[in-house]
Amino acid sequence: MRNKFLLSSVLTLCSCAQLHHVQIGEVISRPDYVQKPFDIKISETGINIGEAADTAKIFMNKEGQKQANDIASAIALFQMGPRTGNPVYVKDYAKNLIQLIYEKCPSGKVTGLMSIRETRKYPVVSGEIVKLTGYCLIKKGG
Amino acid sequence: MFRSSVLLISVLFLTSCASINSLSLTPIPPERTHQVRTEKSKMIFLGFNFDNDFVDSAVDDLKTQCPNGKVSGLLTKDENINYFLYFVWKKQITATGFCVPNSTASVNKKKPRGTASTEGSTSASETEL
Repeated sequence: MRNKFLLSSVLTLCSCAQLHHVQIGEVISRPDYVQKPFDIKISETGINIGEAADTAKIFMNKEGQKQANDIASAIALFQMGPRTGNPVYVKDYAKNLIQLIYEKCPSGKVTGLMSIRETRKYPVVSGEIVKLTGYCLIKKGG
Repeated sequence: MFRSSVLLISVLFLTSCASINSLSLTPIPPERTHQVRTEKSKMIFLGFNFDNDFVDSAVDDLKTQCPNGKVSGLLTKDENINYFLYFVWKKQITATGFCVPNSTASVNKKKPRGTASTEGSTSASETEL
């Protein structure tokens, strides 16, 4: 019993990471500037409706299972189209990325900017992540 | 018979299908003599992948290859290479570009013909340092 609980906990808490997209910007190295690394991570919860319906069906009778299927199918109809990861319900969660870059690097002199779009998959839910790493150029002695 | 079977199985397992996830390109410099390249990859077995940290060192690799200049015309290719029946696949990030030494970069102020527009960008390459 204890082993089963441990196994199910590990399976539930372990996440699989899925990489969707990587983009690297221009890289500048200058001896008169110091490069200060920074990284920004923005995440939003995605929901896999199919998995949610499958999980809900475990606790339902036959009628409930049919209804769960119908609801999942109806929602899926509104979520068609190309996408990366699971749908999220806050559509502009990555809107303030540029502002966050300016907060990390007030001079705006940014180089080696790498943007990564990835998903951390858990049962039913997922973390839809946008990660930015880069270097802020700071003038030596400035 | 046994030899043929081994050969067939080997061919099936070693043959791969490649697909591109995304491509991105930064403005191409007029001076394209010194090419820099980095490749980062990770083998994933049956989809079990717990982090994507393998890409983190790509920028540092490019910086090492161009210690006193600007890496421009950077083509970043993000691809999947799938082996037999998706048991194993490889995530591969390849970045190739050109190292423009700082002295050349500062002389070439005039925008060359055929160079993509860089208006609106916030990167240091377009900022007067």
